[in-house]
Amino acid sequence: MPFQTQNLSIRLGGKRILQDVTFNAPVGGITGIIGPNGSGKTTLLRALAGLLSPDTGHVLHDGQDLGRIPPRDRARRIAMMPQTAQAPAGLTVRELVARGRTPWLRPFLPMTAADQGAVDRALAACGLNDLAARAVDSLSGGQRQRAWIALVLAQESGTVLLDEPLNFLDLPHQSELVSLLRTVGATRSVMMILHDLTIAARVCDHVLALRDGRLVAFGTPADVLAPAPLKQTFGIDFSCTRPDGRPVILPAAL
Amino acid sequence: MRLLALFLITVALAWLSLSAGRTWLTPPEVTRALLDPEGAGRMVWHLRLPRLAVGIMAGACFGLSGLVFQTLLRNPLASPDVIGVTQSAAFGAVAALTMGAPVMFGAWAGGLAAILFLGWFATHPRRGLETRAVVLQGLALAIFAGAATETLILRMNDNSAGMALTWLSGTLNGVAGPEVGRALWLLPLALPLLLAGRALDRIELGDDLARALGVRVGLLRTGLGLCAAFLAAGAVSLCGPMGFVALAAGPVGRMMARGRPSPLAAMLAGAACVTLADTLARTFAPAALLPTGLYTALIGAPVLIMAVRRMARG
Repeated sequence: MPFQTQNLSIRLGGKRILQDVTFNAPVGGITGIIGPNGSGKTTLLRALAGLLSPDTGHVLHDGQDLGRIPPRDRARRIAMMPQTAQAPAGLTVRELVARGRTPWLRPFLPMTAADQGAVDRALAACGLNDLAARAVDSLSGGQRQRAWIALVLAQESGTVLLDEPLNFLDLPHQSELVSLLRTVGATRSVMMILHDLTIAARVCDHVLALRDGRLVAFGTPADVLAPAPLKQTFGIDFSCTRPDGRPVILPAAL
Repeated sequence: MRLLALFLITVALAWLSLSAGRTWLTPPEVTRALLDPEGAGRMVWHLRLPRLAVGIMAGACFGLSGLVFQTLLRNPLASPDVIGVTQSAAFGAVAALTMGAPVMFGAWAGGLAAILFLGWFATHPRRGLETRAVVLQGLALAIFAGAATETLILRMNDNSAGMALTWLSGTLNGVAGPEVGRALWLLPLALPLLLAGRALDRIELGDDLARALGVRVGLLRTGLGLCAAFLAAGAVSLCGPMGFVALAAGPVGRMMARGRPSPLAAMLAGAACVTLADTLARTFAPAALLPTGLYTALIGAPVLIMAVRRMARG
């Protein structure tokens, strides 16, 4: 299993953000992280990426304590796309994607043919071949999001963490990105933060629900995305229906 | 290619600087002077060359320090002369001068104090270093340190005060052999920054992504920030707070490096700017001995405006 957390607690600036989170994430497939705003989703993702060290408890990646893995080795195993990432002005898509090779580069030396190959594969996987020479800041929202995902893919890590990859995308782009994420999840372990529960129910193999920094539920979408655990997570009633045999999850009040 | 052009421009300006002055030298005369330090080249070797060398090194230090601060803080305004590092170093230098202590240590103490102040006050307990807070608090620090320096100068006698005021605009007047020796001290500090191009480039992507890519952002920001502060402060101790060089060299260097943060390009841009400014200072109105810093501002401001305009248009 890629991630194993045991009583993970994190305090930031004296405030408790995560408390006693314990779960075992399985290898492969897509794990969705859901929860209301301020429930600690991003903090959990940053802890799994090794960017925050636990106050108590620990995070294991492939059985190894995350805090003991040197940053460069960690980056070869775990990639993360944060929401705060920004593309410097004028950077082309290919240059941005190539930044994903950073943990593999030899100090002070340029990229090798193997690095270029990884960048090519990532560009092709995200359908960016025709946009490779374009400046990132000239792309549409959906294209830009694919470029960030390509950067993470070029890192060629077994585990990929994504913070709200579907944010700010219109429905066609969301659906396009979801099918891209499905292909990524076929070969790597993906953990991502999601807001749309219907998408979570249809895409994820596992779902992790957080509320106030505590784990509410971890399991299959059928188990976690049910009215009772959802009410526990979000504090409101949800209607979970299957009009055409596939789940649709909406707040009951809507 | 563009880097090579920038290098050649710097070399050409240095050559011009050696030939310019009260007595103009033709290119063959400059060559002859350089080859003969004790005979025909006495004036060049004792007056123009030290001044040129210190100007180049100080300009390179200001430029490098500017690019590093701007990139670490992801803000083109965040050069050491805007966020108060230069002004604090100047205060430290003037204070050391009034107390009879070594000027460079005073400047270093001032620069270090500025970095500690900014690092302490702009760090948010949860979000870490707030880069925007650094710029705003640094601006306040710059004004405060400037006022404190003026207070020191007002208490001096007229003669020292006049010299101090010229120095505060940035000047290479009176620079000779000893200053070259002190400038060479700064080279070890510049080395880590010169080698940090890739790290600076990754930090531009945002702290979390850079860290997820395996870059030790916290360690690098502290280490490179301290080196950059000591470089800027060291340059202040050599020739005073030369206006605009640090602010302008970063964007100009970027323009020469296709938008990427290139330490080498920023160094060359800073060195070229000070060399040109000092040549103008010595030839435009030699009798007035106007401070070089006036000319760096006169050159730096329009160049900066052009560079930003070009970058904004992509």
